[in-house]
Amino acid sequence: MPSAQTAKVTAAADPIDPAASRNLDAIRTALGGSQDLIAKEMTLPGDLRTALVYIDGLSDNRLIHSTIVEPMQRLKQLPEWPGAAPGTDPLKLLREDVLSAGDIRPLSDMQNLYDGLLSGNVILLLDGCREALRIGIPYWEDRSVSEPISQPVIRGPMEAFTENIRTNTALIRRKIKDPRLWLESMQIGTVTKTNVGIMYVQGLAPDKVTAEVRRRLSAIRIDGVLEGGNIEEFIQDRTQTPFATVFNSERPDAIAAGLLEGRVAILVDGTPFVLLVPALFTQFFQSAEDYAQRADIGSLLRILRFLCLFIALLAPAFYVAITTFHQEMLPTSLLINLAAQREGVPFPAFIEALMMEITYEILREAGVRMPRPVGQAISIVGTLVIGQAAVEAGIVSAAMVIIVSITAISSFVIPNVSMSISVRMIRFLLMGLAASFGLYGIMIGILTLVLHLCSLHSFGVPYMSPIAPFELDEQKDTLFRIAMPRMRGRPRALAPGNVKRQRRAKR
Amino acid sequence: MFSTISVLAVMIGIAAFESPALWRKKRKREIAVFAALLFIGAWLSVCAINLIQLPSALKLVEWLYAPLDIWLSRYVW
Amino acid sequence: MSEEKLTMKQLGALTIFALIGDSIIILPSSVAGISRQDAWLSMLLVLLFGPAGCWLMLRLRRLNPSADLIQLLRAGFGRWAGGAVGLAFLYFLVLNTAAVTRELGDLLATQIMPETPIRATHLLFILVLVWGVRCGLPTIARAGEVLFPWFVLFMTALIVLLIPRIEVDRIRPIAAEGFPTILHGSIVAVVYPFAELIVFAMLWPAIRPAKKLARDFMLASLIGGIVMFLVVFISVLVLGPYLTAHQVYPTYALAKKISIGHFLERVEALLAISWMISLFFKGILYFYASLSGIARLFGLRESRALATPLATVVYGLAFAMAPNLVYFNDVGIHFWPYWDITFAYAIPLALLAALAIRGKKPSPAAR
Repeated sequence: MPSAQTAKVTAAADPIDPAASRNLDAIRTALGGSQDLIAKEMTLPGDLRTALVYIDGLSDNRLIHSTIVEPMQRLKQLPEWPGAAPGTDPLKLLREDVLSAGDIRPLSDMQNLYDGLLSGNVILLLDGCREALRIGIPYWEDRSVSEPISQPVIRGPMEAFTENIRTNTALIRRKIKDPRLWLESMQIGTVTKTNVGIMYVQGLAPDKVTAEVRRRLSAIRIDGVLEGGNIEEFIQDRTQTPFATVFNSERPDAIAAGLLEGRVAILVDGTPFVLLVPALFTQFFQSAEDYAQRADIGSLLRILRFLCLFIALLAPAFYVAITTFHQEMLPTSLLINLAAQREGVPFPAFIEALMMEITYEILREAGVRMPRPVGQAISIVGTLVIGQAAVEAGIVSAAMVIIVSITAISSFVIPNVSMSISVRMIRFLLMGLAASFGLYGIMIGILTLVLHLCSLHSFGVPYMSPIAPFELDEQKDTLFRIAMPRMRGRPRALAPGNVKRQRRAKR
Repeated sequence: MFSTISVLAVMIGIAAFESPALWRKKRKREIAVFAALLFIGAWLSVCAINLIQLPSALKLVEWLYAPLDIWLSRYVW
Repeated sequence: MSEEKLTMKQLGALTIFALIGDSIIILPSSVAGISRQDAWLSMLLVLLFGPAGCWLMLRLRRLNPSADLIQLLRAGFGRWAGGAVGLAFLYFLVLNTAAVTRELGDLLATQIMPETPIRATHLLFILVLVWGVRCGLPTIARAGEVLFPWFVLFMTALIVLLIPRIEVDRIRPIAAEGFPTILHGSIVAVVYPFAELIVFAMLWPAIRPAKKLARDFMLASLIGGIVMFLVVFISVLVLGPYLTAHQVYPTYALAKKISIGHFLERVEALLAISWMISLFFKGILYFYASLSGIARLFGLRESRALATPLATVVYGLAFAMAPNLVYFNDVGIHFWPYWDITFAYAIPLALLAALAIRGKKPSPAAR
């Protein structure tokens, strides 16, 4: 795993050697004679020696042939070439007139050369020149755009990001065709040199936020960035919290929607999960589907999701609290049933709950790692079968199995994985409090949780907006989802000054 | 006995946790108030933990206002 | 400590919480103990007096919106006398925090969880107080906003679900107790909810200045007062004056009476837990005010670090305050109202007079 210690870097800003062959040797040695380094040497008219260097697998072989090699070979047919004459700039001529590739840039030091070479560019070295050309025709085997794995919907776009940052930026540009959608790039990770992009809509995203994002990203000093999650930990406001203050999504439509609200997207090459800041608590309960369906359905679904939040968080705790401390709250017939069920169970409710919950977590984790066909079966069947067996063996009571199952299913209703993980962790704490202090313990837990949530900020915006500080107009998109024609404003906290979004539609 | 020790341990813990920051910033006054509060708190908490009865803080309230209450109940209502 | 100031909605939520605070638990019995079936009439009078007292607190603010009470005391009475009064005021604040803690502890220990030692319940509560204060006042205000709708929900449920159990006979004969008794009842009833709002005098500087602040504050206190009125009213209507007066926790007894279709019964623990919310906010406001008051009085710059020692004081005081519940309630009904009146009305009035005589406005830098 990448560590925060910087590894030794190869010779940095050495200028390019005018002798192409010496350069070639230097490159070969630097790469340790890696077999995937391909070098093609040619001699142009006028006895100009050139060399073409690229990494096999990172560049498009056919395009190399058609846009670089062929034009240069045609040059060789000419009796003479203006570029060979002293005083001219052969590289400029090559770049503008000869080579037919699109993205050609000059380089003047070795570090840039290596960066370019290892990013899939073709390097053209020319004898006698202190510069080289970097021709960008990357091509590598990629996953094609497919369905999102972690955030599927029933109705709505079925595209998901891939590992290629260029594909991802293109997917976003297809959704937002405004020239104000800007992309800034930087490289993070001294060894991995990962391409990281910041996308935002100029004018919508507050300058403070974009500046802060830039600042935090450039402050990252680490040798490698392999996933967005690595970056997330560096840029979030506070690490000692179980809640994510950076939103992530696999879906271009979710990211595009966020950009339209004035948020900033962070794309990391190599991962299909794009980050979005600032992130608010309520965001993690919204799904693209809410907008694809009609308003009333969307609202009901939203309410259902918040309900599931409470169930996933509190159900086991309430069970433990009520059965241990406040049995009078149950209707008598249920109480008798429950007592009968728990008759042979040797453990107190808390231990029962703990065991079942941990079993469920084990099964869940195992289900994720198993090969596809087996995995699904294990999770569902496993919990039920093991639960049933446990009930019959008298280790747990049937009610407990029901509670655990409902809790588990509820936590899946939460659209965002980061949030459901947080909820799962906190559930155990609440269970512990419930076991020691009953409903009082639960209330203490809730108070502490609410205080903690309210103390969080995401890039300057209070995490619990728009619930607190309370903004009445924004309630339209929090608990409910009012019909689109009525949603006329942007969240004030995110895009101050750009609140109006729609004009009243003429009927 | 055990509870007293644990209370004192907690007090020492609090002192250890909070005072370095104050020492570094050389805030004499804050440290003085901090220490004073901690001592009063320690004494009170030890009593609380061991269920020792102290003269009630409300006795002060009672003593201050008893005459007023008597006078009012006799003459006003 | 961020410079974020509290908004009007936050102030409103906090005001209602502070007003209902511990009153929800003990007020009906105090009032009914004096005015019996006319307790609700006492509460109507309270709706007149109470907001008037709030007006007094607002007047203090108008002198200098960015000064808290300690600064004003020093400006009005001079550095040393003002400091002495300030110290007494701080004692008032700390004692109140401990009182809130004790009330919660007593409620849990006598009614809901008798086997849990009260020292443990106090400890948990105080831990959350410390946590909240360390998070800062804006966070506390936001938490208030978040929890407010839930509290409203529970209170509404309490009142609405009891309507089937009302018997109007219980408030007859109306006004039979006579005006002096009703007045006495309202004096007792006004202090727990309204007088104890004086804590906001310590918090004015932290609240965003707004044109409608006075109006919002009075409105919030009026709403809180109406809620208390409804609670007392329902209590007398459902439990009757005798039970209301003699139950230590009449609202808890009220909650016990909720019975819907034979399956929603015995939910009093759930409602009691909802009252914890208002108790918590009242407690934490007082705690925060004590902390900031100490910092102001002794000229300290950092008060965060003092939270834990002060918490230990509150913890010990909560226990040492009274040897038993009977004494606590006795002092609470007979003597505490005058204590509250002294600090919430008498001293502020004297302060206003002193400042008027001195004829100068205290500057924000006044120590």
